[in-house]
Amino acid sequence: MSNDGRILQQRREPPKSPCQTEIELDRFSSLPGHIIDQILSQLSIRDAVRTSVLSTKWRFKWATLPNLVFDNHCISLTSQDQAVIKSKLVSIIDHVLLLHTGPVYKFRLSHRELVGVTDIDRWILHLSRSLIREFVLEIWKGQRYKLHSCLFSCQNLTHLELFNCLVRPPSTFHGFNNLKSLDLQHITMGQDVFEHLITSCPLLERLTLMNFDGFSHLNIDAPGLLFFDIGGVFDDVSFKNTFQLALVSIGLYAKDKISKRPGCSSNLLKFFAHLPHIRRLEIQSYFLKYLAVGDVPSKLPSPCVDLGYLSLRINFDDWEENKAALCLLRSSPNLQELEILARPEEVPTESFVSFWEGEHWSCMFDQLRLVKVSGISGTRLELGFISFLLLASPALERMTLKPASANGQLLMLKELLRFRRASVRAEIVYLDP
Amino acid sequence: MSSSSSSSSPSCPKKMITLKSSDGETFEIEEIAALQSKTLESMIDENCASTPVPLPNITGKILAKVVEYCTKHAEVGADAESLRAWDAEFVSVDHPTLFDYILAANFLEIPTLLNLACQSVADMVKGKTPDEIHKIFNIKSTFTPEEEEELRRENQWAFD
Repeated sequence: MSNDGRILQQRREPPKSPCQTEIELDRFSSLPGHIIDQILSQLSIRDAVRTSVLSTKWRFKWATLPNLVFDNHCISLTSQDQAVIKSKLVSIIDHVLLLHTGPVYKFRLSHRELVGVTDIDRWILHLSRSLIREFVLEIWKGQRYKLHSCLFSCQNLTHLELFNCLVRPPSTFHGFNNLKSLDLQHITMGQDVFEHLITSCPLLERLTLMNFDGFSHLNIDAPGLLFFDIGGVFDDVSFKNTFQLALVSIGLYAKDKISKRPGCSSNLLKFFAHLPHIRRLEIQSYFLKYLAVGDVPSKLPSPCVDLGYLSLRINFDDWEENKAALCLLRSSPNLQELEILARPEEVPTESFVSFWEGEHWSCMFDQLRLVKVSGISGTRLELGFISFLLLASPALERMTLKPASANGQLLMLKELLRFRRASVRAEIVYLDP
Repeated sequence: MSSSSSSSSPSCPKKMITLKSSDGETFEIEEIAALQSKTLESMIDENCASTPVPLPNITGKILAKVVEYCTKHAEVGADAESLRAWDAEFVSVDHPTLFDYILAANFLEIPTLLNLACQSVADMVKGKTPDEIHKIFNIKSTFTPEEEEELRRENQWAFD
């Protein structure tokens, strides 16, 4: 097996003259370049720059680092006022970028005091000339920072992560051809900008959206998408061509926008229409209520055969939500792990008392091994649900129950003790609230 | 060398590979563990790994540890917490040994070991003054005091 192409450290021959012993002992300086890069990248930029005085060899090793991170560790802060810290930070970044040579592939800027700093514009301009691949910008406080238009011409970008920014690309923007991962949190963007962004990034695999405004219709047309994580306030969500999407986590933070028009098509059906290969699904906050809008079918037209993990936030007092949950469970025959978070309403309106009794005849979870239920208070509906799960899971190994509060625990436990279990190996673990 | 993992696969014998260090010692490693090395993985794919694989750049002492690392990390069912603790223990060695790990991991292309050892070295550099770094790693300074002063001025902010 040939060794060419590998950078090796050859053991030097024993030194002939005494002063050569010292050079032999300094193996750090003669490590291969990419390894020194890796070690220096794991230091703060400050520590990395300090290596410049070690020896001639070390003088510019920091200056060719392809990854630059400017965060709370890069200035040794004595408690000075904001303005001083800000100007220090700006001066450091200017300084480093000026002395740096070679490409910058990864850039991360995330400092607490980075408020209203318009210098970011010229740094982005500089980086856009540098074939940047990963760009992370976090503005911790203050107004949304409007991104400089140069960022949108960085065609080598594979990862873009923004926090508290305003995204308004120029009219010449035609998408990021190489973007694989997009993470936008606390951002403002127009509806058309959002849709254009999604459709014009053909390689997009991961999309994270948290707390956004300016758009409320999530039309996700992304054939390469594998991972989708969103939490915010929106009107609707629909997928198109997302046949590879495997991991989805959705949280709808407000319920007032959920429209309940009678006789309208089922949101549940629409949602799952383009998710044939979904493997992990988390339904959080009020999203189940959204899914329950429309005529909820008894089960989906084609089952989610790949779905192995399901996490559901449910209000057991809501008839429609129970229906939606049942439909989903009936359509997930290969579920292995289930997590349920009970979300009771402030004013319980328990106008129906039984829902889950007898439902285990229509469901069988052959592979369900692990169940976690939390936030329960021992209502009839909750207990009915737990009983249903125990009867429908012949392979169950462990069920963990966590109540919302210490009230009524004994009553709840008494009821639970009576429940029959389909699995002889099932262990029920009751946790303290 | 001892492979302390005992996975229970009763009937089928574990496929082993033999590695030969620069000083002639041989070590056996399970194929599954060896797959963590991209170098060894491609050799296994091309079927060149049937005879002892010569590794002229790695001594027996280091190769033993590398085999131990790969075997530990190929174990099924180890929880993340205890693995982290084991890793921390593994790299509490003197820096010449750390460099040996780095070079071995680089040659054998074992990214996890390379990251682990590099992080260890980085931790030794963190927060130290240049003088301290000189001492720890035996780096000989090639600058006169005036030159060093000028260099410090060049990046004054880092020395404040």
